Amino acid sequence: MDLGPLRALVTRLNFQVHNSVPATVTVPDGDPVTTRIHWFTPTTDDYPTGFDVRRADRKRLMGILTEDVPTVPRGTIVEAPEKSGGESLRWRVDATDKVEVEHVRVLVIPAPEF
Amino acid sequence: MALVTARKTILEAFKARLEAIRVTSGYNTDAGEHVFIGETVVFGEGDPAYAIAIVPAEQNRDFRGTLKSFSQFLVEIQIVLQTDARQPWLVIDSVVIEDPWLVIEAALQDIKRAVEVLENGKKTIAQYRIEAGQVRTVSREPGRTEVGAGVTYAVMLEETWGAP
Repeated sequence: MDLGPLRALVTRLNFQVHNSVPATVTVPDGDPVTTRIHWFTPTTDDYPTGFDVRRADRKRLMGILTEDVPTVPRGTIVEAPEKSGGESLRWRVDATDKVEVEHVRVLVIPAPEF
Repeated sequence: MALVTARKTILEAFKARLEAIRVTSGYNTDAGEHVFIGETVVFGEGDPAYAIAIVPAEQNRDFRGTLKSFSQFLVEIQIVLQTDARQPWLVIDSVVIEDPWLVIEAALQDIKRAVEVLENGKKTIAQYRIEAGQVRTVSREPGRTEVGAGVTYAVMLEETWGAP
């Protein structure tokens, strides 16, 4: 019995239930793709180590479904609100954090257009 | 007894020079608004985009059986800056600077210009001879918006036993 479609459905439902928001993802030289992204709990460790003056700004971690966006290279633009119902903001993928079976986790930074 | 020591005098002189860093005085940043000594400061969202720490480092005092020691008092000037694209704050010659490495270089220029001034034509600080040490930089890491730099100076100290 092929459980792939069932797994994909469960993953998508999970994304929709747990802190996911609608998003438009555009990889470099690609077309915009409408999907949903998941915000993971941001980390706030202070940086840089070894300095007497440091900052503890949020490191934002985002999950993107690979079924909708197979690869998410650095420089990919994501337009999504920071929380459900919020204003859509522009983010840029800064690095890949982890590749899971159904989604890829990426670090993003704000990338507004002026 | 009054707190008067060579180290204190030198650190106060560093602070005074760094607090002069203001855009209105021809510098790239206003980092002189936030200068700290002797404490670890952790800024977060809503805090200023930059801060300077004056960090006394090692001082190897060696009296060699006499009552006088000649030593180098190392002081590192550390600066940490934010490069959040939502609030680009660095403007040089009417150009908004966003590249992290350029922000670092602008900060280094400010520190060097503020500290490396001549007293009566000499390389001194509070009348103590000062030499330049190493420069280190902290690049932006993935997912972060902070960069930093540190400039070390060596101040030549002569101390008398029991009379710092």
